[in-house]
Amino acid sequence: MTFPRMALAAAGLALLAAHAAAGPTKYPLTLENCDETITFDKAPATTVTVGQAATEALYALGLGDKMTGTSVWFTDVLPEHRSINDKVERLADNDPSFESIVARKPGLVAVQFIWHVGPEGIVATREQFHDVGIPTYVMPADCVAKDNSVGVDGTRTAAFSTETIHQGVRELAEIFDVQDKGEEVVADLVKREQDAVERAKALDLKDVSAVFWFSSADMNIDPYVAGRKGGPAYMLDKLGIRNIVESDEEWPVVGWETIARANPTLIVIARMDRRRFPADDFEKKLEFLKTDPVATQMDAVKNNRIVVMDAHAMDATMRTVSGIEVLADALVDQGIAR
Amino acid sequence: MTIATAGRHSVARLWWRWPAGLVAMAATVFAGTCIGETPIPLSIVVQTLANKVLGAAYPLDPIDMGIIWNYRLPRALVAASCGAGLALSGLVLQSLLRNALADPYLLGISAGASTGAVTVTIAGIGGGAVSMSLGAFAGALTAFLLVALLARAAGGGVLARGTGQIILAGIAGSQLFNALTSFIIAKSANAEQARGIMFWLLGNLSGVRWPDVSLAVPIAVTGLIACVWHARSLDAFAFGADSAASLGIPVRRVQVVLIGLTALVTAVMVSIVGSIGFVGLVIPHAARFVVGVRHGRLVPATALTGAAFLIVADVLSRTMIPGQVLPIGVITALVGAPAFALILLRGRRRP
Amino acid sequence: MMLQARNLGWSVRRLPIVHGVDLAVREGETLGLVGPNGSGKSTLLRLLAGILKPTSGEVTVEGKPLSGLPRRLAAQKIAYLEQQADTGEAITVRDVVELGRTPWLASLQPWSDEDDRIVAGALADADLRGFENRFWATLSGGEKQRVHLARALAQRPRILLLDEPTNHLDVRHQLSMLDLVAALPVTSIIALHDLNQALTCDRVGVMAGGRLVALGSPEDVLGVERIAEVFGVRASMVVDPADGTRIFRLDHLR
Repeated sequence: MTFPRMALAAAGLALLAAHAAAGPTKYPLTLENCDETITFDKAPATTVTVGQAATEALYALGLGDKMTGTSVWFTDVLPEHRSINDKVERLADNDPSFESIVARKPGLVAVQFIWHVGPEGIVATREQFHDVGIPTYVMPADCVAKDNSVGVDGTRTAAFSTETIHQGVRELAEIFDVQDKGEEVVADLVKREQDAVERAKALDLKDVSAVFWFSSADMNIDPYVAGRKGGPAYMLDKLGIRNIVESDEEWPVVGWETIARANPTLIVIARMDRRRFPADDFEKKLEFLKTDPVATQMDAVKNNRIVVMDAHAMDATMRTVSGIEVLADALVDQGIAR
Repeated sequence: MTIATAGRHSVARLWWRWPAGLVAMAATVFAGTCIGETPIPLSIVVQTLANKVLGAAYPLDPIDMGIIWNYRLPRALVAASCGAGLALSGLVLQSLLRNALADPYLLGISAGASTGAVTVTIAGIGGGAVSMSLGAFAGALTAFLLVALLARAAGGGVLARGTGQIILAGIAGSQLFNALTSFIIAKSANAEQARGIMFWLLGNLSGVRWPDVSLAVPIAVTGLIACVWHARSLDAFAFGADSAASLGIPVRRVQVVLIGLTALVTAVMVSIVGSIGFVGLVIPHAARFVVGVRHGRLVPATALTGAAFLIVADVLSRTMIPGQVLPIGVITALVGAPAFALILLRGRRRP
Repeated sequence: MMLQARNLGWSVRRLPIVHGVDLAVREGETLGLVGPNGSGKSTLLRLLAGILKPTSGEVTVEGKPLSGLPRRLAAQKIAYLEQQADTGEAITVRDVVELGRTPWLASLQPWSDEDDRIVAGALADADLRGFENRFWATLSGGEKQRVHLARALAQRPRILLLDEPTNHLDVRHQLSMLDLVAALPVTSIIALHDLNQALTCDRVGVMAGGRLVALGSPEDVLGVERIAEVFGVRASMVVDPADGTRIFRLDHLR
């Protein structure tokens, strides 16, 4: 273990110790959450989630027993939460209806994406929930420094940082009065992130570039790739890799011509359970890279520097950390040192 | 302007128009090959074409060569075919139905294509063996056949002198298929999924490769030949089907052949690139303002204008925002609408 | 016989519009067709032109069935002038008249100097010299009617079927159109409203209720009694003292 890693581990433990002394939540608790003020007189007795990230954050905080319903699933639950998840009812794989949530009479609705409860209210607007006395909490990763009215998946006004993930975990911990657990979870995330960054730093990377290919609406069509301010961009930035895409949109459409000429060192492709487009399947993405007359000529393809990453890690969630780890490991395995 | 007198008297003396048109078309395709998302020097474009067509052996970056030969050239060719095909389809329908607002999607083709596409992608019919394009094509033709049958049953449309029925049948068909699309989306997809489908349906040329060229170009050329062949018949419809019949046009046969061909061309184009709007409606009018209403000149002019317009629109969609691609439908409307307004205003000054 | 109809009939949803018409027109003859609104004149002309397919009986041209004739060959023999054919196209007078050459030109056959000559002649015959480059939309109703006539003339038909060609025309052009048609070496059938104009035809047919109720010379057919019966008006014959020409004076029945 190198010196900086030890130091970081120590720092993490110190952080944990400091917050462990923070003490219980003082009610009534008032929070600013995505442009709304929410107030809690006591810890909610039950909660329903809209969005897998919110669900898994609550599981990580050990609050599975308070959950009476989950919805909007993108992929399988993390293995460590499988047993508790089996006991919680899944209201819907996709969007739940407003009434199915209200019928559970939850003390809180925790939401991953603002567009489920935003002004367009795909499930319902936040006001509709507040009108029936149900507070809503939206994970700050989807609204801090992000304009959701611009671009298909919203546009970030400032670069994403795992800080907002930590903020979400801490605020949920505070709402449910489990702050010690919250700090423990955050410290673990911080430590894992720092470890991965250290591993990459040790490689002394110079002029390494990458593109994140999420999917494409049709196999040969211009792909959806990661913009320069979202979760993937954060991973690249932390590891000292340049993102070849320069768009503030979360998942902009960029032509293969532009990607091929930028000729990135590394191509990261998303693996997901979703099968809306043929390109959702990472095998199909690999096949494209290895058969398309232009893509085959890219250095990353020629040298087989293709990294498969879980799509959920590319969204701004607690899983972002595992994305950083996957990427750091890939750098080590690929031997992309100076 | 040119309408009344320009060289009507002898086709023989105007033989140069056809090679001139071909040269103009080739120049536009070449321009579409030269201009793209990233700057590639002209010399490299020329050398690539020399390598590929003439068997030259200039040493070139395989990525540059691939981009020019495998991305840009097929895309320019398909854009040209698609622009020409849609514009001609619009022209034929406007002339046969004597309705200035007729466009290729009037016959329910666009609505049918979206239903076909969502049936394949969202509802999962075909179990992955059927591509979205094939689904869209099947949907487009199904919708058209239904519209044609309905029009026929209503005693008009394709098979009679009345043209109101087919327009009304087209509206009914479009509504039905749009509703079906919404139903499938509401039943088995979430909003995010619907958004992806709509992106595709709005028209996208980026997925085009050589196999699409071998489909689009022959179809467009077939359409063009059919329209040139029927140019005099189309002229004769100026005063309606009765008048055309009295001028010796086998009205029913011409209507069936041309409307059927229009449906086929449009369905193929929609299945390759999605429903790109504006071209089929506006390009024929633009061409009319320039060369007049006689189809002998109008048909080639419409094909050429449509082809050039879509190539330009595609180039703009790739270059307007550096490093990012805009939906081509946005460009066709954004560039086409003001251009058309200009033509309208200029045209007003004429008697 | 140039043009012949045998037991000709056309009905829509079993409602007969024209039925049992027997008619034979000789070469070069001008036949006037009169009858009140809705008596089936226009439908009969469309049947004779081959634009409508008869539901009973048949039409023969020079002894051959019209239905067996390809449209293009039929149009080389028969020109038909609709009552009100209009267009929204920005089309010029010359363009319209040139349409008349359509039946004589195969799909890709080039336009010839002969076609140019014929079109120029047709324009001159219809008194349209100087109108060539005028746009359709700028023409008066009468001018449009003359352009249609020129188009029909450019078709160089052997048979001319005219549906109320004198509508919209001023008095002078009414007279010159009828004179022109009478002077042409073609067989013509003209649907007319003006009974005085019908008097100048070689023969007159009277339509009523979808039937051809009378056919013969104007003097025989257009009797005062028949006019009262068919048109529901009172007619009296007046003689122009200048040249002895007979004309009708019409009034309500009492």
